[in-house]
Amino acid sequence: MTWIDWGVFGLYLVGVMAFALWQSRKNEGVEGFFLGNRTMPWWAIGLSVMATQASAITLIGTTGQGYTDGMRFVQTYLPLPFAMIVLSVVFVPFFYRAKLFTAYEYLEKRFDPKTRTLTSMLFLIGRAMGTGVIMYAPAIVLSTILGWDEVITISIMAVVTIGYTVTGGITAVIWTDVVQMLMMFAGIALAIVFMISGLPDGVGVADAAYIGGVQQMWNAIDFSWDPQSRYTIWSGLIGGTFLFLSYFGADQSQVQRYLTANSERDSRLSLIFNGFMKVPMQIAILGIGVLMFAFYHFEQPPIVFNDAEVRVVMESDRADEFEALSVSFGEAHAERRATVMQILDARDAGPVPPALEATLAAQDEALFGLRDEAKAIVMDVRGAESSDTNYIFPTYLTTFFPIGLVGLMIATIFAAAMSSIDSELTALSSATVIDFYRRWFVRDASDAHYLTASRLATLFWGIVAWAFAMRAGQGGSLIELVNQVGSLVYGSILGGFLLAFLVKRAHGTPAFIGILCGFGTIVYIARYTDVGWLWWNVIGVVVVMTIGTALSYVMTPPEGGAERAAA
Amino acid sequence: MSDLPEPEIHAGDDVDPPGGPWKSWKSIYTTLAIWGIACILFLIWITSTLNIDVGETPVDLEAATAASSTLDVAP
Repeated sequence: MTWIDWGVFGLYLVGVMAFALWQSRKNEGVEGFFLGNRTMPWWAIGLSVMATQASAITLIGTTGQGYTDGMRFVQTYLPLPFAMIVLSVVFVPFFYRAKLFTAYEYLEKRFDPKTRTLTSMLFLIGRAMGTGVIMYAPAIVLSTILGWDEVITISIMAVVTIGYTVTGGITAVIWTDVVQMLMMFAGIALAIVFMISGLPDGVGVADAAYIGGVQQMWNAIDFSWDPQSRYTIWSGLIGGTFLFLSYFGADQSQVQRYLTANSERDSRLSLIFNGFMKVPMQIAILGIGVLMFAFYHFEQPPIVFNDAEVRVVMESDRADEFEALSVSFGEAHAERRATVMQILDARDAGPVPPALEATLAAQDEALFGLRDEAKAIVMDVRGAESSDTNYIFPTYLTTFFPIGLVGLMIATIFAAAMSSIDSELTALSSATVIDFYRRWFVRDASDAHYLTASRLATLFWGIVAWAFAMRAGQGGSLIELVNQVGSLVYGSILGGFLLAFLVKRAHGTPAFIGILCGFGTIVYIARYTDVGWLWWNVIGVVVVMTIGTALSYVMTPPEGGAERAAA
Repeated sequence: MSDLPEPEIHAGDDVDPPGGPWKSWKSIYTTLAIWGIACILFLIWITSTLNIDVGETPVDLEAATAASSTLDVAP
């Protein structure tokens, strides 16, 4: 990066802090800190909802996934528009009219305090460690790309985000999310424009799409019923529906957003906005990956994109072997490039001979094979699998993007990370203060007291996430465990809310037992079976609903709870 | 559905959004559902149109690479 790029990046960091503080100047009290005094417009909330979900890993990991695996991950997002309809019809009225601070408050009104406490605790467990991963994962990538110590990258991300979140609360978070989401839109558009313009003269979008098609990269929809197949339209539509209902309907980091709306109408519109925008955005991000795949038929890609991994291997006793593979990779790339140019000449003249297409497909496979061999050496030397997928897009940016725009794109990646981190911190803080501190420990303090507690809770969770991110690099399996913990809780929490909305007979203790059983079932499935993670939410909901409903008919509702359980 | 005490409804709550063809929540939800289906159909079209079936004939890569360099391409 040049000084211009550093200047652009620095301007972003200073600008976002100043903007956040200016926007939050009118916030007073706990309702101001956590809910923006319920005055936020729907379009700002909608952009914040999108920014919260789209972390830096969306930008750098999904593009890399498009490069290596094509478009099929988009199937996970297909049910999102339909899930937004269900949420607007069912969830928003319940949450908004109850004038809640947290989603789990509703479960005390509907069931009892222990059910609220259980679900809030599951949320805190799932999200607390997950926030550290959101901080660590992009930081480690950027550190390698920029040549920074990862401590510095993590710390910059943490300090700036914690700073404006503690100071400005949800208002600062939402308005910075708006800016950060607009930056992501601009970054995605710029990436596509420059990738197309970076193709050789005479090579256009149609040619690039064609190259991707030879390798079946436009594999957006898979109708297979094979349970071993990772992403299909069926697992996407079914599993994805439950995933989005639980994430947008039962996760405080999203529910808190639409509770800030100035009316129930705006609350619904924010989700509808997300429903229209999300799928096209994911198509564009994965499309960048496929375009990169085509682009790297003309420019030689690294055999392994993670420079840190390459350095480790080159200092090992397998350096010569890796070097030989790199030479073979370069030669194979040159041959493939020649084939591509022949194909493009043939396309200008008429149909491409099938033999040429088959040759290109085989050459693509050969290069994939050489990459797999190189990554196997990395795994052997490091003792851990190569994780270079997340480095593909940042490597492309720093190698081929114009001066000035590199800094903007790095700022965009930071923005994507910070827009997710800030949302998680306010959610963790609100659940801690409202569901635990105010509910169980200090009940009748002043608003100023709770506001101070809220800021301290935000700072606390920020430091926890920061500390976890700093240590995450020391345990690859720890990150894997953390991601699984996050996925373990969603289905059970959603099951609890669906029981509340849909089963009039349901009451406190059966719901509590049902949620515990749902959580236990998912833990068992995750530990002892190969069932894919997209199905965990479905299973969790089914278990909670079944057990909760059955026990609600068997067990007598508590006194006073009969009104809640009656028709 | 289970009932909770209803707080006061503020101006704008549960009021249909103004303007154009979206005169009711039903019309918005219908539009969004159609949009979701359109996205799926678009992706099905991409999958069926842009992917190229190069067949399953095994290719001797070295021979094919050598041959392709001398392939006679029609003008």
